[in-house]
Amino acid sequence: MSHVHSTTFHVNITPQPQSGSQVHVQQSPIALCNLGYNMLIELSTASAFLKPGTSTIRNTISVWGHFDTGAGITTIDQSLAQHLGLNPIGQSNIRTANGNAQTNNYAADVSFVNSKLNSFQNLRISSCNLAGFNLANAIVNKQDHTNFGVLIGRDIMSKWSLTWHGPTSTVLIAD
Amino acid sequence: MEQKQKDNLEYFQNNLNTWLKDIKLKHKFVVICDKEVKGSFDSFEAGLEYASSNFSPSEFIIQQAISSSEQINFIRFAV
Repeated sequence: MSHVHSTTFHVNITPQPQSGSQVHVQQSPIALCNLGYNMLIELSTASAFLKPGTSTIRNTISVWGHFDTGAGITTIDQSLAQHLGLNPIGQSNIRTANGNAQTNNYAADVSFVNSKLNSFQNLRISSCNLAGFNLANAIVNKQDHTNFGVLIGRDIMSKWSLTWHGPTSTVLIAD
Repeated sequence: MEQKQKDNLEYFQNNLNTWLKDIKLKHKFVVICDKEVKGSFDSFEAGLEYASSNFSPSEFIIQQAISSSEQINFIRFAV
């Protein structure tokens, strides 16, 4: 069993405190409330397509994923599917703020950067056009966790035990 | 999606209501190639393992035989 413990601190002290000053740091609900929870994940060509004798090569990208309990299936931005050269292997229905849509499904391997959580091989993933996601920026800048190209859905969460402690912006994940 | 896959998807959509009444197919992940059911599996991963070993990636699809009311996939961020 592995687990992830994530707590976000924002400390901003202006002006710099003098020597001997006491600084009190308090956890707050703001980070989780405003931004939700995002984690860096690695998305790769599905292992099932990498059999000996095939010409498929393994493409990989690390990109931020956003926890989305509204998504039954983990979903990626269409540009990521094109970047990785994923083959569509079906379709699913999604409901968006603009109405219903049919979008392509793919298969991919998913792992979680800087954690020992079990990876997922040959996971079915859906796709959509994610508002605000910028692939070019995601490739060069791994610090901007608000530039998420993946929605981590209930299919992945169903394998985890999750604790969402809002008052301290703390998330615990165990698998 | 390639034309053969679109044909397979149309085949799936035309038959879904029948399959939802079939205990052998309901809720299963169905591998479809050449507008035929090639296999049904309890998990997507098992279906993909079978399909990728036997068919070209651009020719098959894998669809779960569920009705649209059985899974809510609401994407808040989609445009």
